[in-house]
Amino acid sequence: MKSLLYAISLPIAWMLSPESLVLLGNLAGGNGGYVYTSLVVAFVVSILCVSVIRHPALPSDHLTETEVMVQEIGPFATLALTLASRISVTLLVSTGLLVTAGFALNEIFFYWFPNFGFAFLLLAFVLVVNGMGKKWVLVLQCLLIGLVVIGIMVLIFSGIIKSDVMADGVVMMGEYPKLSLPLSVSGLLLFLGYDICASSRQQGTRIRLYLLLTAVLLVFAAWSMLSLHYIPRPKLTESTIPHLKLAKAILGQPGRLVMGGIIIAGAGATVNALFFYSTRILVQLSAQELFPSFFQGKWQSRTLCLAMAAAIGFLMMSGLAGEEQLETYLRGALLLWILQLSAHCFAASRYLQKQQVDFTVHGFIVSLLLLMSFLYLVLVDHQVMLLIGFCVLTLSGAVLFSFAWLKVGRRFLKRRYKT
Amino acid sequence: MRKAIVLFFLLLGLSVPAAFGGEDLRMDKESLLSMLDSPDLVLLDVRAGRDWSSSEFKIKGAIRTPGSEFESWSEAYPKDKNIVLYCA
Repeated sequence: MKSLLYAISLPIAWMLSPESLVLLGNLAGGNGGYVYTSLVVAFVVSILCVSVIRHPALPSDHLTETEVMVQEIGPFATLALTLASRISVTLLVSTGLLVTAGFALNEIFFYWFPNFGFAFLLLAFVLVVNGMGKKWVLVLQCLLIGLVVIGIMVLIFSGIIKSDVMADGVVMMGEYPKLSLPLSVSGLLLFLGYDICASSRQQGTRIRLYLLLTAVLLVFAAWSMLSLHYIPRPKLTESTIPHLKLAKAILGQPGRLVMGGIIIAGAGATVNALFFYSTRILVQLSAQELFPSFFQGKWQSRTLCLAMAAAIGFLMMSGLAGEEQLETYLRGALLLWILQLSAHCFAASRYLQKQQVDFTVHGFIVSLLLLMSFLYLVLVDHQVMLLIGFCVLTLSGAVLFSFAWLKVGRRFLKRRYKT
Repeated sequence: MRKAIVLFFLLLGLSVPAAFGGEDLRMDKESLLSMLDSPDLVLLDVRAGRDWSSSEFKIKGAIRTPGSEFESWSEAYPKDKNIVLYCA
């Protein structure tokens, strides 16, 4: 039971995060009854990706995820893509979520508590827990995700019981038949996180992720149904807080308090999961000499956590949260995550193909679909030039670092230690 | 002694702008509430980024305006109206 909780509490963090609930609300508003189709398509793509990257034929004892990628697409591409996606997601998503949590505490619970003060407090708390080790990270993760799930279930059941939403639900399908393709494809972002895991062991992970994704799909479908029932579509589409509006519509002030708790716990859980997984990936890379390692053992991961926390703190203090560009950078980071998943899927498919495992063709197709989704979502973004600039700069920086480390830094250190 | 005199005049100099400064142009929420239906009111929400999007408190009828681009919109509104900027 404990291993099951640990296995699902990390991947589910982003899926039930405040950012994800906002995206879901806007998707429901933009697509109306077609939101269910969009969710199912995104779900199927995600399930197929999981079936490849967590295939039982992938070695779990001696090879980690990054090692499979290094073996199949090379160290340079692995390092560049991993750094670009992991670091940008961890820094930017965490910055956005921490600020959101701060506002939730200030506006919903304690108006006298400074919102940025709470954001820094939450960041410090996550940093301390990550410094205490994997066991405490997972305990905190289970607690926070537990709160989020309970809160969402309370709102969903209250919303269903309170009205004839089940009768109205079918009627919604026929209204507003216009489908927004960009919104539909962005549904893929809702299911991100299934590549985050507590360990590299593949046994049983795939089935657990299938069940998790199915449960999340049902939650998303129920949430969308309630959103369409309680909130007028134009408001749902343009709102930056559709989740709060829905909670208030369902339960009034108590609903607002429940959603405040969901926002804070969800932000904490996502930041905790991102810290944990990014640190783990960087440690994996340094074990393969693909990333600098200045310390050994626990202090290596603590140093990495501290560096990430310092960077996030700097971003918050620099006022990035008050800039419109943060939303574009955040979207860019999530799209780079999709790009990295595409590469991971491709590498796993190549490995499985060499092992002559059946049904690996769909892995290549999913990898291509993810790549095309990445390109499409970049090109249709309303801030396309800024987004392209962000992706190009981030990838270029990662490529430059990879080149500098693999071609120069690593050899220099080896020669120095030899003499 | 010399240092104390220098410090005194420094502090005096720093306080002069405040002494000759204009009146405090802030308004409390009760005053704003009483003016909300007035046709002479122009209410500008100058919050940006997450300061705006994460907040559930948005005053109905407020015009969202980037606070950092004051020069671009400062001439857009008639000077005889009550122009109120709010950020929190």
